[in-house]
Amino acid sequence: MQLRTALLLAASLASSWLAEARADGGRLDVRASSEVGAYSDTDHVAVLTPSISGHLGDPAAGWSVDGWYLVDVISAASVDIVSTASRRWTEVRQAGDARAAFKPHDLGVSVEGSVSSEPDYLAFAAGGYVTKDLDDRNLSLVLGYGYGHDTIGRTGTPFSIYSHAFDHHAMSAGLTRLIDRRTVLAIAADVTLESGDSSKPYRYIPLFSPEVAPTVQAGATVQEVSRLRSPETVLERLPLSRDRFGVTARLARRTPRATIRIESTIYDDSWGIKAFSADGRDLVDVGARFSLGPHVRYYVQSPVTFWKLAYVTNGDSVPAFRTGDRELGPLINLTIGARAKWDVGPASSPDAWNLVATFDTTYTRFLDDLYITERVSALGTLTLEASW
Amino acid sequence: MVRMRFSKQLTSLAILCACSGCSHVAAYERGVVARPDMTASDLSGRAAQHATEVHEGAARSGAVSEAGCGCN
Repeated sequence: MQLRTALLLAASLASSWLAEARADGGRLDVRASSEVGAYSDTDHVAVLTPSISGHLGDPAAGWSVDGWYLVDVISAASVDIVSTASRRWTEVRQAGDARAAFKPHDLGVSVEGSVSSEPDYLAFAAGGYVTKDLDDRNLSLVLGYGYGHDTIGRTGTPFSIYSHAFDHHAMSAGLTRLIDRRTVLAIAADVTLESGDSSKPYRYIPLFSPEVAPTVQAGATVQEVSRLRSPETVLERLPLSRDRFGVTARLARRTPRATIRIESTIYDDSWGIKAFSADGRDLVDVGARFSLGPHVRYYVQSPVTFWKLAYVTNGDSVPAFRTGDRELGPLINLTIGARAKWDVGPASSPDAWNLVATFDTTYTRFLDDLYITERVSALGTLTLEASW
Repeated sequence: MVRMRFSKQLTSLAILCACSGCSHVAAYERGVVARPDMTASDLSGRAAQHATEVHEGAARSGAVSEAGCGCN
């Protein structure tokens, strides 16, 4: 209901600004796009993600509004679900956000809000950014702050009966620098402070006796774990606060017939994860209306400090913190893919309409996990963009 | 606290590096950097961004995608 109200408010604002801008004779920038994404992996998870977005702005006056709406249809029968003797489940998530920006000259502000809803998870977030151009617009600075409030529950149980809150404050500072006529560099630092219980209420953690735990091997099957584990089973329990720090640099350079983009992030958090990623794209012009290029991404992370392949129980005592979330364990991702863009607009403006297709396949190596040691996933997207 | 100080120092260093060794680009020379594929934003769509966030334990940085490129 709140999402619908927000969208109606955004549409109302947009239509009034549209009328005002047209009355003033301004030239409006109107864009719309529709994307469909399909994901599947070897852990029996499939996701279909249609989304739409729109943009309306007056570059001369410096204002713009953006809106976006997405639906995730998720079907999963992963090994974690199988290990708890549960059947495949299907779930639908809806998410949307709206943003308004005003930047008449060198100083700009923007505000945005978002909401995401699924049967057992409800998330709201709002934030704003201030941007300032310096050095004759060769350098841009940005400062941002956002607050989010999530409500985590259980499917089939009203939030009023069972739920817990999770809050996060995100602060960011960044700059974009024109290096020369063909090169742009962007650097940003992010700090996110999280508080609340983000433990999954469905995630059961097997426990092992002190004698058995050292014998448990990475990749042990569901049957092996069932045979070795102690009778007790406990729910996941994560620390109630987490501080995250990240620094990202992104460089884009245009050569006569191609655009090269490289990006790298270093990351650290108070749970002990240290991570590094490197991402590269090369978009090569193949004719006047078509571009095509490869995409490569590498990601590696260390585990949280409380990560264990086999958590040990000593009779009545269990580990204070325990998790089975593989994305909190040590892992390596390697993504290889491609992106193609086809301008299908009229001769006077070929890129007014365009089709973008991407395909990425990711190999993940889980270095210290139960049940699986690797995963291969594929994601394909098709996007139609139009502007007037 | 130590991490916060380290982040500040790293950010200051990055700003210094970014601001040095650049040639001034006049407004009429910004045709190339105004191309959509030269934007400071992430080129990935929503589905790809979400898949990456799910696959990686580290939160992705948001500020880069918010930074203006100074050419618009």
